[in-house]
Amino acid sequence: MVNNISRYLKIWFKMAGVSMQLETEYRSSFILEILVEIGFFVVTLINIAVIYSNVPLVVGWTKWEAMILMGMYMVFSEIVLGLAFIFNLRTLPDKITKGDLDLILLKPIDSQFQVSLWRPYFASFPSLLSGIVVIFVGFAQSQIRFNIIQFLTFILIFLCGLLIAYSLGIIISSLVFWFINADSLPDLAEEVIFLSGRPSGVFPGFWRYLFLLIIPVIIMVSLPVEVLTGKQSVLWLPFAVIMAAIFLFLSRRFWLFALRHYSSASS
Amino acid sequence: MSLISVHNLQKFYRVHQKEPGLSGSIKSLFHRKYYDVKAVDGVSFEIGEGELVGFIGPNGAGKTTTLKVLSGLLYPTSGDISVLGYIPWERKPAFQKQFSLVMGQKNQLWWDLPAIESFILNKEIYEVPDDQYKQTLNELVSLLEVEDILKVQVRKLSLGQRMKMELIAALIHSPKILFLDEPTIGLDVVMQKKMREFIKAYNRKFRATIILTSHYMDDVKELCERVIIIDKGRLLFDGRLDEITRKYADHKLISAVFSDHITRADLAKLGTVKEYDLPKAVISVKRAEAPQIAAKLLEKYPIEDLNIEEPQIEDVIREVFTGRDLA
Ligand SMILES: Nc1ncnc2c1ncn2[C@@H]1O[C@H](COP(=O)(O)OP(=O)(O)OP(=O)(O)O)[C@@H](O)[C@H]1O
Ligand SMILES: [Mg+2]
Repeated sequence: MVNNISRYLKIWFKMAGVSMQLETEYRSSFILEILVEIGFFVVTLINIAVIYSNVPLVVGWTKWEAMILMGMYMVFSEIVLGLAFIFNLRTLPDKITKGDLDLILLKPIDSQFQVSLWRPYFASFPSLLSGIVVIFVGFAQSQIRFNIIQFLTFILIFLCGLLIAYSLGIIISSLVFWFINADSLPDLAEEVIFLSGRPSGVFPGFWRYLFLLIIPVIIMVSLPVEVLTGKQSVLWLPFAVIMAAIFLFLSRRFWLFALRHYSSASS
Repeated sequence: MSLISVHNLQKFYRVHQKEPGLSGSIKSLFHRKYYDVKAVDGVSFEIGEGELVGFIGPNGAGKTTTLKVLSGLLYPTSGDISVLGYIPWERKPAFQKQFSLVMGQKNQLWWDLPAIESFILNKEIYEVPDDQYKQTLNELVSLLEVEDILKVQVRKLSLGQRMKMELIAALIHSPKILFLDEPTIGLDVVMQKKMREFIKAYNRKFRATIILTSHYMDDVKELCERVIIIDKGRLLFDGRLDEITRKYADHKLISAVFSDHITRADLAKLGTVKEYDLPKAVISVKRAEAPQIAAKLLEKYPIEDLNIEEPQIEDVIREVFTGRDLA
């Protein structure tokens, strides 16, 4: 087990090196990507400023709290996109149509790992950093403080959220095995995960249950931030852990099921 | 002992019928008609250690499908298959570390990086120890003569050079079994020859078991003592290459050089005229009658030289395939 983990880590770092080399190979497009990310960042900041220019509170969040949420969402989505989507799940439909998935299935290394965590994307790193800056600004400007218990709980729930987002990505993207030419399935998965940028208060009644239990985007960003800012209790932790375990398990089963379908139909 | 054993392999692809037009596609959304493509339909064979077997058949015969089942990419519809004692489609890493599948039309190398990067990555994936990696790499690099281009980006290599690199990437973990699906496709004659030499040398040197598919008969003639022929998913022949001629060619070729004129019509009385380019001519005659006809020729016409030959293996195989087509 430990051996296996260290082997996979070693391969991952090797791939990270390869990816870095490939991204800098085309330096101009690498710089362009970074500029795009920064532009994106500025637009979202302006967005917050505009929304709060007229009202002091939106679904119970002050401007600075909203900034913390925003920053956290930037960090979250960049991690998910950079690690699992951009060079990975997004290319799954293409790999299936071109038959490159066959090359993956031949290798003595887990196929799910190869399609979902193979090649990290580094150009999103700057916007991850800017997310952290936004979080710091939010805390500095507001009076919100947290203790160590809240902080640790926050970290753990945040990690659970990452695992859930990853699992949803696997499940939704794997549907492509049944719908040939459904190239946009990974994009759909991303759109679902992007819902996590909203404060949980925007989901009333039925929607709250849907996005807490079935498509648990609330656990990804909103819940950990609410715990960190004292809006919710740290007792949400066991719930988040159980949900992450369930989704991880489901996504694994679903991936293997989808592969089984691929190998017996293979079209 | 056989390393690969295939018993009654069937692989059917389930495809749905597409009806033409918009109404057709809407209908098929709700009511799909399926039918089976019998890609492989009851094939059996055994292959022992160190064998180099040619696996041939016309387009769509089921060669690639069979190789994919053997390497665990496809679940068979039915049949007992064992490769190195494993059930391929369980895809156990211990099994996967012992074979390689090289497909001429598919590449695993990183396009924008030098090939050596892909080799290093495969070293990690296949857990090849450092010294073994170095030794294998050196051997392969010198066998294929690619020292100079190891550090050149793959996209800047020629097709032939790239194929060599693909082979190295596939062999870096010293597989016991090698499935080569059209490894010489698209290569020029000289490069094809080099590839063949390499495959032969690799088979001898490492006692690797190799199954090779190719549409170039030269590949098969030069490399394989044994061939398996399939067509439409069924096995037609499994045996030594020279047995094909004996089994399927019911005729022989008599080629003669005449010192005097002979008309085409006269030759046609004796057999089918294959070539008429005086002073040389070739006629095809029934196998059993070849000696008598040759004697008759020698007796009736002034002849400088006469030979009785087996027909070309290419021709025999073509006849086998087209014969089946008509049946
Ligand atoms: N994924 C698939 N879905 C449906 N039918 C398929 C699929 N792959 C192959 N077939 C069909 O199965 C049959 C065998 O194909 P296969 O690729 O094994 O032939 P082959 O002997 O390798 O041919 P070639 O010499 O052209 O490479 C063909 O009729 C082909 O159309
Ligand atoms: Mg083929």
